[in-house]
Amino acid sequence: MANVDKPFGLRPVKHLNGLPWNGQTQKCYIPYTASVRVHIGDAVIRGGTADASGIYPTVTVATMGDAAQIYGVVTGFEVDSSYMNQTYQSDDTSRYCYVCIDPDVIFQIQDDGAAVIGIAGVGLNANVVQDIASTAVTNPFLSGQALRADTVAGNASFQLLILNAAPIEGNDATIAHAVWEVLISQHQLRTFVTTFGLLGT
Amino acid sequence: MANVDRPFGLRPIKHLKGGPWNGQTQLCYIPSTDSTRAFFIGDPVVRGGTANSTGFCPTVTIATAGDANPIYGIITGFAENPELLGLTYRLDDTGRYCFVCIDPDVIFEIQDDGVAVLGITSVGRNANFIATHAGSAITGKSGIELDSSGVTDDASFQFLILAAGGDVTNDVTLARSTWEVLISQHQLRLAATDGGLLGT
Repeated sequence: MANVDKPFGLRPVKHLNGLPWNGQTQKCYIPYTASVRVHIGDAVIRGGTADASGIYPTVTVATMGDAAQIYGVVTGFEVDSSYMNQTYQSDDTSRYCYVCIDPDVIFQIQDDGAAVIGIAGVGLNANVVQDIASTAVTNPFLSGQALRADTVAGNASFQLLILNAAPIEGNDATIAHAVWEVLISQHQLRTFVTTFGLLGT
Repeated sequence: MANVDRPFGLRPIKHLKGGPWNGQTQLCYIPSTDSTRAFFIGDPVVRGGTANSTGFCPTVTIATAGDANPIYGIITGFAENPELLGLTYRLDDTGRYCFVCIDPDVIFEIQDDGVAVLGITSVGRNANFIATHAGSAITGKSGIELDSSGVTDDASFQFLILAAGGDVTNDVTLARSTWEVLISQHQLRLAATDGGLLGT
């Protein structure tokens, strides 16, 4: 049976020490000047400044592709009294969000189905791709980002390291749109050397 | 009294945060096509580049001893084999699932091979492992040891020696002491040939 094509961005599931993700995040700020729409599951990078208090760093959506670093992944938003039920950040509005910034957290992500990765992809590197445009994401408004399936390779400058297929019942790793467990290889909280991420084999 | 010459490979004992090792591992797979040798508890492994048929369990094979050779994790046990219930290791040329401690922040104990006396001045230095002995088919434990002949400050080595092992009978002034080490060349840390944890 085919895997359901339903990207959700990056979803934190556990730590490298084997324990379930502890739910801890850094509160960050998306300024209205960012002019992007941000969803839960989006990979973000630091924006280079902070909110007025200086406590909450600004973030914006990460660039997708080779050697583009990632600071963390949005896991939720502060309630906005103007949009009580809105679970994403609209373009040109400011909003506080919660970002999982731990470089040792393992995430689940669905591949975009552009190629069948198969079990030979375990241990290789991959990039993130905007599979569904952020403005086209619909209910439940999770990220449209996915793992780019057609360029998986052993390349330490890629953004992700594929650890294994996600052990979810019904997840078939031998066909397109499989869900994978990955570690962020190009992380802004690790030493930055363009080609020295986590080399896949 | 001389230290007992009884290698056991690498044994996870605690995390860098100080808490005891939490026992968590990744389930991995050793395919029957792997003819490297038998695998034992305490053996260091690297990723094999593929997975079992479901893709859930990455394949692993024995890590190479020596300078600049990374390690993915340490085997801490094996899944049951219904056909050989008492077998505590993986026979050569047979497929078997194993549990691997892949956390780069776990501290391990390992016995040195006794070729040289390391002494307290080796604390803070780097070392490699050596596979002089085969593992034990009785206990299922690895024969891997710390190579005491090449301990120095070299970040491309596989381990950083943090301290002597805390066992009260462990005499650090003699050969075959046990040591607490961190994996310096880890496949889940940055892949720079000499970018491990520099000793000293």
